[in-house]
Amino acid sequence: MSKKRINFTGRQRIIRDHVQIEVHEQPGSGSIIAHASCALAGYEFPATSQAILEAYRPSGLQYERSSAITLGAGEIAVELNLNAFADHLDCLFRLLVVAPGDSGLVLGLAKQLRPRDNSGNDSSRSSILPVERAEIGPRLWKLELDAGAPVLLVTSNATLVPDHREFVRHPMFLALVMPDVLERCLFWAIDRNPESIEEDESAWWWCVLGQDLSGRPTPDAPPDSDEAQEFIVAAVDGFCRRHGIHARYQALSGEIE
Amino acid sequence: MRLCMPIARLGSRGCLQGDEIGKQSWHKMPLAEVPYTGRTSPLRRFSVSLLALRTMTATWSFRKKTELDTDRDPIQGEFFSGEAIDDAAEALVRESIQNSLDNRRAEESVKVCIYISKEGEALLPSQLIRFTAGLFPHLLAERNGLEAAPEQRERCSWIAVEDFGTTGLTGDPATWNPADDEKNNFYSFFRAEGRSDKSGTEGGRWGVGKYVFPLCSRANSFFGYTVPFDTKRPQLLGRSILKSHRVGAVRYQPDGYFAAPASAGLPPMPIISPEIIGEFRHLFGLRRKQEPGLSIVVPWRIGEEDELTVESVRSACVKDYFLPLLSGSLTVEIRSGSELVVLNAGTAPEYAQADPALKPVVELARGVVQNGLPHEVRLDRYETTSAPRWETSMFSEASLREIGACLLDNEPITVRVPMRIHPRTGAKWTHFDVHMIGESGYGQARPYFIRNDIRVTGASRRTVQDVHAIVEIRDPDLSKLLGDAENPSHTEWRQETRGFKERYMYPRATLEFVKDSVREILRIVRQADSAPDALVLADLFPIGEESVGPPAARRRTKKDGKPITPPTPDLELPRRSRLMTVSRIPGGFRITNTESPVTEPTTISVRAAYDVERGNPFKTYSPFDFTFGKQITIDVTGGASLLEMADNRMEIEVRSSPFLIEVSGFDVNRDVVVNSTTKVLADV
Repeated sequence: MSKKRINFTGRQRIIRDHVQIEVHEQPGSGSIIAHASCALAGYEFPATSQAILEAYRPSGLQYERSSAITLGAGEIAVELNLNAFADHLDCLFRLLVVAPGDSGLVLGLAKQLRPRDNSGNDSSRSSILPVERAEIGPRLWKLELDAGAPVLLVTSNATLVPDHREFVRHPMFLALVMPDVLERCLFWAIDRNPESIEEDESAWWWCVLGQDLSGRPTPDAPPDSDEAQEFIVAAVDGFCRRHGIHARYQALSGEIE
Repeated sequence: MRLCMPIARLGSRGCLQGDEIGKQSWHKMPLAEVPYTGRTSPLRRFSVSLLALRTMTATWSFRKKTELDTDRDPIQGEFFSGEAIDDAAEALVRESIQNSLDNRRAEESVKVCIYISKEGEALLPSQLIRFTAGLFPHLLAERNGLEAAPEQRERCSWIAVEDFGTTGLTGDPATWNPADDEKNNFYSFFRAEGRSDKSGTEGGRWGVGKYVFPLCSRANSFFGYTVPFDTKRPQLLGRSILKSHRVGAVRYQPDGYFAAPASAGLPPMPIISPEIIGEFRHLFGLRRKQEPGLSIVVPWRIGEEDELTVESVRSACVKDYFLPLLSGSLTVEIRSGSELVVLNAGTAPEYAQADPALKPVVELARGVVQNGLPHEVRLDRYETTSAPRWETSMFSEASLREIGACLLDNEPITVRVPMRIHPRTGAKWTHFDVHMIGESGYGQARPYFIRNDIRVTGASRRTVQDVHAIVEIRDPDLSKLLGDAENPSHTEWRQETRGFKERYMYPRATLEFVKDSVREILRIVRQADSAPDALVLADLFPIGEESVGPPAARRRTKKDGKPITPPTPDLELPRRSRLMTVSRIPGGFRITNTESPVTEPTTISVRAAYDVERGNPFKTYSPFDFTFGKQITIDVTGGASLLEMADNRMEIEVRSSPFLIEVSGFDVNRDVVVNSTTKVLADV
């Protein structure tokens, strides 16, 4: 299977590393300000394009937008007041570069940006496996591979699973379920055989993760081939070692006993 | 002054014999004998009252059918056969208490006393003679519509429903031709079919609620004893509703009245004789003396075996009127022999304990009426100015969080919902309240809908998971709208209800907005909670570092047709040989062969959809976006042929290279996602 995005609008994906966001309290006023430093020179956007920073809730139900800043040479800073958010800690950000004039055409977009934390570490990394609550009948969880990217679905039944974060982070779930989830996602990604990060970002990153965990290059072979299976097994083994699956399970077993 | 009937015709107790009465037409009585008109001069009223005091005769009369009258079969009973009313007890309780609450005097608490006679208390025929005079020939007539008419020698069990703290039946009882805007409860209750003086926020309005009383009588008959709060003048009138029927050779109209002697030009007039009323009160054990209100007596009651019991009436009261009971605006006493049940704010929750569906709702309602619920959220107005519609924009982040947290913690919460209604006279904003409490593991529960104090039992049959809810409507304008949409038995809101569509715009959307309120609130709250969480597993499955240099450089290499050169060795992904490539053309895409030869017949399955900001574009595809073969043209040439296509899918068979499939006609203001898979035909 291959997925291709036909980019009629010419929108470019802005790499997250090119937008550094810091959130700080403004001395004196006490306002909470998000400051985005953008390095957009290499994208060849028109100099009269406008950059806009948006802060939003993961639910998408609330967002705030900065004033538009003319791009110029591409090295710009955009600021956004976050006081409208009762709690800004779980805000995400996106940067839009909009064509000059009134068309509103989005020329470039970086999304799911997170600010650096207080220690200066970059906390902008997101997961390539989003978790989403859904009606999935009698099941507690399900790996959805039919979408453009793998999604881990957790039952929307709040009685059974009041907190999806707690559920997927539970040591039992990590130990018993996650290795298999990884295996199936790698199979899926190898099958998609991504041509480029622009074309199939999710499959691309899954392959990159597989390489990282296995220490091997992504196999140039169908996912059910011996070569691909060895790659997947090595990656899952690497995952289990890196995240101490045995130790987690032993600790949990001890608690149960 | 003459008596209305020759004394020779009176029976042993001074009552008229039924067969003789049947031959009389009350409207032919002399005007001089009119006991009370209500519209006459004070002097005349005084003389008439004196006459009435002396007039010991009161009889049942049915008017003869004439050549101008149609054969009638009153059908009001059908109004109460809706499945939303379970049984006779519920119908009786719903209608009688609703009438009482609607007639509540300002600031008064309404007390309703229901007496259900026990088997041993049934009255002997001889005790009833005064109040059945003239009735039996009609009750025993053939084809009179009665299914189990009481026998003349049969003892009579009865139900009495009395209300206190109410206005009683006010209005001139002599009125038979009221002005359109005249409010006359007496007229509406006794003399009108399908007419009610109620409107606006009042519970009833169809004017058929009163028919629940004859419905509970095997004789289709009842007595009404009222003391209007304005005149304080006690009045007694009986009513029987049969089909057009024949007694002997005479055919009669369906409506019969137990009334004072008739006078020409006046309708059947109520009895005001203290002696007759005193005997009536004593006979049926009524509580009312001179207090304003209405007492209804239903003789030969139905459900003697098990339908109408203290328990069934009590259960119906708690189920349908728990809110006014809890708020103290209603008290109900139910008696049967020595058995007494008192329902009030203190006892109603106790009686609800036995019903697992009702108990949590009554507890929730108790919180509402006592101090209000500890959590309250006010939603924002939706943006649309046309049909009401649930929108996520009504929920602020804070309200979503609070509702979600309350439901999770099984804490009660009130959500005030703004709603714009559209009477044809002009749109206006109204509101209603949704009270909710979660109960983990409960399962499916049906929300309760209460308009003012009346529970609309069949408003919505849709259930919600693990949440008990009461939708309470008190805003006068919204209450009026929903009342206008109610069916005669006040159990449902229907856009088809007579006159509703003519009075309001967007009838369906308006009713659905209220009916679906609980489900929609839960959907939006749970949906917000179900937004994809891209952070929770970031340490396990992170997106890699992106320090990969300017993307323009990468694009150039791709345009040059060279293999992808990842910016760092770690990111290099080898390419497998492919049968085909997908590339962009103006307004569409092209699928062509690669250098890899086609060695076996292969099918290519293609799916396309407009890209979306979030979620799966193929799941959000709609035929309104585009359809292959319609807006989208497909041109297949070379060694490929089109097997089939539908909506946004197509299958192509490839047998040899070269082949070319061009798909065009897309909206170029949107990006398109194309999924393509190949399968060797032998595998298919």
